[in-house]
Amino acid sequence: MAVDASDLQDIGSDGHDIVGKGSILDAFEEADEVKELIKSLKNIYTDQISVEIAVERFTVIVDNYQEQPHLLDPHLQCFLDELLALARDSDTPPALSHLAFKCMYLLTKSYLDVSDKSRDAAAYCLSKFLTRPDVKKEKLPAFLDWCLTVMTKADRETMPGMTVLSGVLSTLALLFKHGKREDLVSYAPVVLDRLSALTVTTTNNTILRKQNIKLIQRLGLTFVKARIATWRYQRGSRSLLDNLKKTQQSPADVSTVTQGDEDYDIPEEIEEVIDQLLIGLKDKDTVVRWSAAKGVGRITGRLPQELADQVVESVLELFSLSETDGAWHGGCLALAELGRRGLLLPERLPEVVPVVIKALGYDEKRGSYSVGAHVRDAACYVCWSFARAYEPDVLQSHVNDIANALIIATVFDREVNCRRAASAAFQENVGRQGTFPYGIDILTTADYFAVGNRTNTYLNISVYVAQYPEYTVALIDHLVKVKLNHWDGVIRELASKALHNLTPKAPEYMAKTVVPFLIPFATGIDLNYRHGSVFALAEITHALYNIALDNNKTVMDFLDKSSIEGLKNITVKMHEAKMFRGLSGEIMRPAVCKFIGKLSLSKLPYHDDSVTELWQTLLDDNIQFGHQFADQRIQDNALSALPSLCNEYYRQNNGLVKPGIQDKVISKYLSELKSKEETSKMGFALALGSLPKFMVAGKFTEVMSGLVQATHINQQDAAKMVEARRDAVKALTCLCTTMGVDSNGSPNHIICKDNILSLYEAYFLAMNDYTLDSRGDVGTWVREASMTGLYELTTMTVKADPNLISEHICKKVFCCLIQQSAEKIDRTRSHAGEILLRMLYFDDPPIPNVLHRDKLMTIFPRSDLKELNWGASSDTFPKITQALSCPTYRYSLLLGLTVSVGGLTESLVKHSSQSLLTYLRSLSNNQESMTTFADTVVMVFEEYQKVDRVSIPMLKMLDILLTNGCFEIFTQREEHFLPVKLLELCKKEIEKSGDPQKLLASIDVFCGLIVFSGVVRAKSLSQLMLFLCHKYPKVRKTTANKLYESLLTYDEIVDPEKLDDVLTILSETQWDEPVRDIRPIRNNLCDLMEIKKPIIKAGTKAKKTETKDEDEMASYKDLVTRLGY
Amino acid sequence: MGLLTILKKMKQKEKEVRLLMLGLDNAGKTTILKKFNGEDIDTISPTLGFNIKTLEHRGFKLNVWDVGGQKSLRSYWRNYFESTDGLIWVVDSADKRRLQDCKQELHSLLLEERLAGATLLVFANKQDLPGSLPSEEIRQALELDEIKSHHWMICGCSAVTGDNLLLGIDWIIDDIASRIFTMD
Ligand SMILES: Nc1nc2c(ncn2[C@@H]2O[C@H](COP(=O)(O)OP(=O)(O)OP(=O)(O)O)[C@@H](O)[C@H]2O)c(=O)[nH]1
Ligand SMILES: [Mg+2]
Repeated sequence: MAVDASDLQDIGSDGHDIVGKGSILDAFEEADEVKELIKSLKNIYTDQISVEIAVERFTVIVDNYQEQPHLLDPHLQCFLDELLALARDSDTPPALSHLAFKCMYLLTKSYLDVSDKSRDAAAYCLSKFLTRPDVKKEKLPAFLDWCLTVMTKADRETMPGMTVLSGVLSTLALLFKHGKREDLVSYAPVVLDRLSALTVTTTNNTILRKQNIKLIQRLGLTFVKARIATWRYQRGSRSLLDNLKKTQQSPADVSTVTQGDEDYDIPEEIEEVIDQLLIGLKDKDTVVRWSAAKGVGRITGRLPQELADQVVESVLELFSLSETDGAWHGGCLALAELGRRGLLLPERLPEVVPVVIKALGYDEKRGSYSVGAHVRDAACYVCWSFARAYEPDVLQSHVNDIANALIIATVFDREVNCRRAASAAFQENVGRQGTFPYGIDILTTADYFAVGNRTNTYLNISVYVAQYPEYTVALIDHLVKVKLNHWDGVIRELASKALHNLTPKAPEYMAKTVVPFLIPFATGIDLNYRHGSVFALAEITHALYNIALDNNKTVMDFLDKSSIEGLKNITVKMHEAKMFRGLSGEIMRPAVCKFIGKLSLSKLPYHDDSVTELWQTLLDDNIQFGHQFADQRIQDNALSALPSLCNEYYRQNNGLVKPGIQDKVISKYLSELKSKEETSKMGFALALGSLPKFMVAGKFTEVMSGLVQATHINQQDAAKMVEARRDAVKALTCLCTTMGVDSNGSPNHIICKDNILSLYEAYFLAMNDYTLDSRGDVGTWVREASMTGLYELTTMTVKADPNLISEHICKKVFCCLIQQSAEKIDRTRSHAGEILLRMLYFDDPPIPNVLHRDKLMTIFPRSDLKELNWGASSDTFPKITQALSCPTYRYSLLLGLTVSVGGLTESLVKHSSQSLLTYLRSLSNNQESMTTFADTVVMVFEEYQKVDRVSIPMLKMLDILLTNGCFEIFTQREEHFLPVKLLELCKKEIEKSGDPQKLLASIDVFCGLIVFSGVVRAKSLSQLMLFLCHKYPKVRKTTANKLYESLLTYDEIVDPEKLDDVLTILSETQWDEPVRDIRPIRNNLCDLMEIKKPIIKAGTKAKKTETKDEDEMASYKDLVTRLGY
Repeated sequence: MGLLTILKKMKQKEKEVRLLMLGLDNAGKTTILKKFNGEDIDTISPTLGFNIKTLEHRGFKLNVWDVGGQKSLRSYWRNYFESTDGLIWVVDSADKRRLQDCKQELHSLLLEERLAGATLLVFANKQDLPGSLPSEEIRQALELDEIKSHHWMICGCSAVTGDNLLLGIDWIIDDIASRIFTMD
């Protein structure tokens, strides 16, 4: 909005508000009361309660005048007189003088209280009062004297003592701040003396230490006259008004004002003050260091140049490695403060700049972490303040150093706040100095936001900056000398990768200087540096190789003989020094695996050298044991190095494998594949999968059958080995892609008509892995891997020879995918669905023999390839259920649907069942199609009889179908096969079952089946009558409830005359009473409903039914625990 | 307390104000800045990066940022938004052809979250040129009255003669000060 009158009014009324707060008083009305209160103190000071009441009253009164302290003025003298008299009387007991102080403090403090502003105003009043010509002679010494006494006596070990001390220190600081210098200067030495004697610096209380520094600063400022140092450096005058008024343009006058020879009168005490402030700079707490830094700045400004120079000198001494990080931080703050005030003369810069640059990289190890981020940040502040303080020509000779250091911090600092601070400081320098090389180009790339992402700054921004020769070597050197030795492993790795990316900017430097420099560190003492160096050497060598390749050279054109020898010896030395053991070994392992891989890729000339045998051993060791370490990358890195090693060192010029090596490697891996250790098994399966083609050629059959074997479920350890099976499937797929397809090839060399079927069979078998353990359906990992395999194998084969994909194979593949794409786990369904569509629309060439291709393509138009969200059950089920109309897929699809419709999660059940019902409705009671569907249901149920994974969801699905009247069409014909069959299957399913889930689910189905008149109804009712006396009370109760509902829903099941009685019995009987009490009721019910009473069979069963109460409790408990009630 | 916090605190304490001067290229931003700084304005070339100058005025420390306005540079403007108190939008009042472009750039700038609190001063510059539009017409052309999200004012001026520059600056400082430094 534009500014208008109403805005202004707002501001006005705001201002008014502040004044108007509280009632406005005209005079200090309680003066007498306060006087009395003070007088009474000596009578009541021993009585805790009276004291509290008095103090409270005192506070209340004084508080009222907070906003109008002037009303107190006339009385202040009197109050203070009384209080001082009390406090200073040598006969006064300590408790009373303490109390007197408290009131005095309240008077000053609470009257000074609330915001800093009103406190300042109040302190101002107080100091004005105490320094009034008529008062100062008498009151000021008394007041100070009293303060000093209290200060010295205060017991710093106690909370009240600390509060008192804190009160005195802040009151004194305010007094010295607002009082006139001439009035106070004579007292300053004694205050300083006493204060120093207190050694507040050693207290643990941060606030006290801060107040101490503040007071010292004030005392210091009292010692020396306020003046503007004539010697200070000024960056020209820049008053906007003056400049605009100037009639003709003239350059801004830059002036270092000439030295004035004024008289400085510097008392000795100033030395003590500065000493204290310098100590404050090293304080462990930031707020104290801050106060001290400001004090140093202010006081130095009043000193003659010589003395000021000594201060600067002392500040610079803080930057020593024997000082704490706190000292470095305080030092930076002080430098920034001095710089800002023009007190660091340009002549000093040659000394100051190197120190600041050191601080920019300050990072001190403290065990497994380090300190220094605050120092680096403060150093950025110094650079920032310098940018504003100095003319470009003054900084010119330091620009390169500062720019480099800031860039390094911007790009490579571990902490985001430091990178940002450095970037801000760099920006300030670029904008004000204008002399930073390529400043603007760099800034636009390395701006405040871009530097937020560390990976980006290391891997991309650094490369951008390094294109400018002013920065290239500095960036590289920093990484090599500092970051490769960083305490944080993540930084060391990032640094190595950055060096990879930087190599093209300075290949010669890398090869001739960096590599020889790093080789000794790779086997040196320092673990961090060893790790960083090995990583970096791997990365740099590989980068050099890539550059060589682009220029038709080899890596040997860059690296000299001794480097090549040095690189080779690294692993040998490590092995000899047993550097792979223990914790440090864990750190080195992924680095060394990476190193072996990268050196192999770079084709280093170690062919026929024994080092390659060592490398093979090392890789095998990490493949086998990598998983014992927390770091997953150990095995990953070893596995990805293996093919590089093989490719470079095991292949002859004719492309064949070197004699001997193949047998050795493959037989070792195949035998490890039979290991009892899952992790070894996983590792070596993947290792076999990663072998290059020439290594497997001639032994494909053997390797393949080894892997296939490893995918089979071994019942004893099904759950334990599930990840090994997954990896075996993955490896098989990898191997297939490596070997390729040729229908007439030899099965020992390639996929062909003789072995393709067994490969497919392996995948099909893996599709049945539904292993469960505490993590849930872990078999899904195997199934997902297998689907990926089916996709790879099929698409690869079709490219080579479509004829190899028989109708049988294709049908099976699609059945598997369709089943999985209707199952319940979102992730697996997505995986299956996406592969299904990719295969359906594969056109390079199209996959032959896809049955119902057109129908599938109608259901899933090509756009679904990208757009359909298979994970969302609301999107997928309405589509996939339509495929029920394809006879080929109906069975598999229904199998998949069953577990979803009968599943547990609400939205899954909702969407899958709705879709199924919609589909069935679309058949619009077509007898034939419904019969086909019913047939399929029965087939699935029969096939998965007693397989709980499917049969329990099947019961739930049947309930849904029956409840929704889907099978109504079959009620017309008596004894239709469907109800008969379903009844039979249900009864079989619960036979001998004690699984409450299953029993409860079956109740619903039996209730649903009573719509089918005749024998089905009769048998269902009999079963329900049995359930009414089931040993689980929950089963009895549920049966009664469900039956009640069904009888209400369906007519003509019970004689209408008797229906009321039946319903009453069902609803009013306590079905969880003991069975023996219930049985007569149940039998009565049978009579009413004209059902044969269940007869207790002879033998053990009879005994069981005649449950004792105890038994019943036991079974009830069992049920409770199983159902989780 | 890091650098960025220090900057914020210092700003309060020392009454520092950050003014960001933007506008299409050739509008006269750098000329205005140099004029403020008492520098020669005869040798100005288009700005490829940016300039910062600190000026004292009425007890305030003004950090004025002048950023190049060429089309290719505009995407970098966002780098300078952080902690801006006032935005000075400079318009070449004689460049009627590009007023539409000028309007669009201004309005899209005002959507920037990081400029949300900033006060806007529009300098209708180059009033000394014979063909220039008066500030009233610029106000309409830029649809300034549509702006509800920022305090704003338009002010016709000339960087060459210095006319009205002070008026604009005084206004923007008053507005910012009433917002930020109300304590004093
Ligand atoms: N007559 C006249 N000319 C002006 C005025 N202000 C600037 N100019 C001229 O306009 C031209 C461009 O001025 P600059 O200050 O470089 O413009 P800018 O906005 O900084 O341009 P960029 O840096 O490219 O964004 C120069 O030739 C100036 O002399 C003015 O008030 N009156
Ligand atoms: Mg410019």
